Amino acid sequence: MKHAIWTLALAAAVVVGCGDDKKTDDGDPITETPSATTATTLEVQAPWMRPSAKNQNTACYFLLVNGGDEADTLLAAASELAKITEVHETYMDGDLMGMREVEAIPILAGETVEFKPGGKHIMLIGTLDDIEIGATETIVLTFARAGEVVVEAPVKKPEKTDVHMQHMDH
Amino acid sequence: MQRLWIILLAAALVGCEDPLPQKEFIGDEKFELIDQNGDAVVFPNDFEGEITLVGFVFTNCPDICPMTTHSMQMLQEALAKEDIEGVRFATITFDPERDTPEVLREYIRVRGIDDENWAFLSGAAPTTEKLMDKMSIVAVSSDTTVTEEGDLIYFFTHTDRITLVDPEMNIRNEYIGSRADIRLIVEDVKKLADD
Repeated sequence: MKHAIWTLALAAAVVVGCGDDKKTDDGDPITETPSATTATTLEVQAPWMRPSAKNQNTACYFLLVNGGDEADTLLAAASELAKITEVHETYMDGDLMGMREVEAIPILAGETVEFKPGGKHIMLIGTLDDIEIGATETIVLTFARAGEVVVEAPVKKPEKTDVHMQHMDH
Repeated sequence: MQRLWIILLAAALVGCEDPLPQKEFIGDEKFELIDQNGDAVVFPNDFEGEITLVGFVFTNCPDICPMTTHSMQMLQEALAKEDIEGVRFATITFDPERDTPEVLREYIRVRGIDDENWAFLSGAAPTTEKLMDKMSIVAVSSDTTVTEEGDLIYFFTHTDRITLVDPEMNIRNEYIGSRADIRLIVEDVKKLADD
C-alpha cells in the first residue's frame, strides 16, 4: 500500500512536471534530468497512527528510509485531521518525560530515521473528528528535496514491534 | 545434625521474606475523586482489599501517556490470560481541568478499553495535586502552543510511571509506564496474590 501511495505521489509529480515544459529562447524543448531521482530513493515505510477522540491529540509514526546518495531533510508535516500538525520528539529530562517541536530532521544518504513511540513523531493537536481504529488517515510530509509526500497511515493500537521498548531514544 | 538445622533455618527465613521489598503506606489520606461515569471514588480506600495498578496520564498527551495506557491494557489482557482475578486498574489524570469524566469516557471509547475493572479518575485540581505529591508523581506545564483560533494548548513534562499497590494500600513497586515490562509486573502481581 505504502509503495503504491509513493508511486502515485511520484506519478503526480511527473504529471505536474509534464504540464510545464521548459523551452529555450528559440522555442526548442529543454530535456532535463528528472528531479524525482532523489525522491524515488526516499521511502516512508510502515506508517501508523494512534486512535484519538475528537478534540484530543494523537501521533503518527513511520520509518523514513533514504536509500539514495543524497541527504534530504524533513521540514514540516501537515494534515486536515487536526488544528495543528507538527513534527515533535519526546525527550527525557531526569525522571520526567516531555515533548518539544523539532524544526527540521535530516535524513542522511543511506540512513533510516525512525519515528516511533517515545521518540520522534508527527503530533496532531486538537483532532477535528474521531480517529478510529481500522481507519486510514492521511498526512503530508514536506522534504527539502523530495517535496511533499502523501502518507496514508492505518489507525491502530501499537503492536509489540511498534513500541520498540528496548530502543528508546530521547 | 547442626548443618541440617542451619539449612532448615535458612529455608524458614527465605519463606518469611517479603515478596516485594518496597512497602509505603498510602492509606493514611483519603482523596475524593470522580470516575469516568461521574461516580464519586475515594482513593485509595475504595481499592482496599484488591491489588491495584495505578497509572498517571493526561488525555492530551499524544505519545508517552498512550504508551502507559497501552501498557496497562496489555497488563489487563496478560492477567486475564493467566486467570489472575481481583486486580483493579486506576488511571489518574494530572490535568483534571481538561480531563472531565466525559473526556475520559471518550479516551476510553476510542481506544476500545475494557473499563469494567478500570477506573479513570479526575477531581478537583488541589486534590489531584496532593495525591500526585503523595505518590511522588511530578507534572510540570510545558510546551505551550496557540491555535489559529487563539485556543491555548499546553502539555506537561511528567513522571512516566505505573505503580503497584497491594490490598493493604501499600505501594509495593513502581515501573516505567511507557516501557513497562509486562512479564515482570505480572510476576509481581502473582507474588502479591500468593502472599
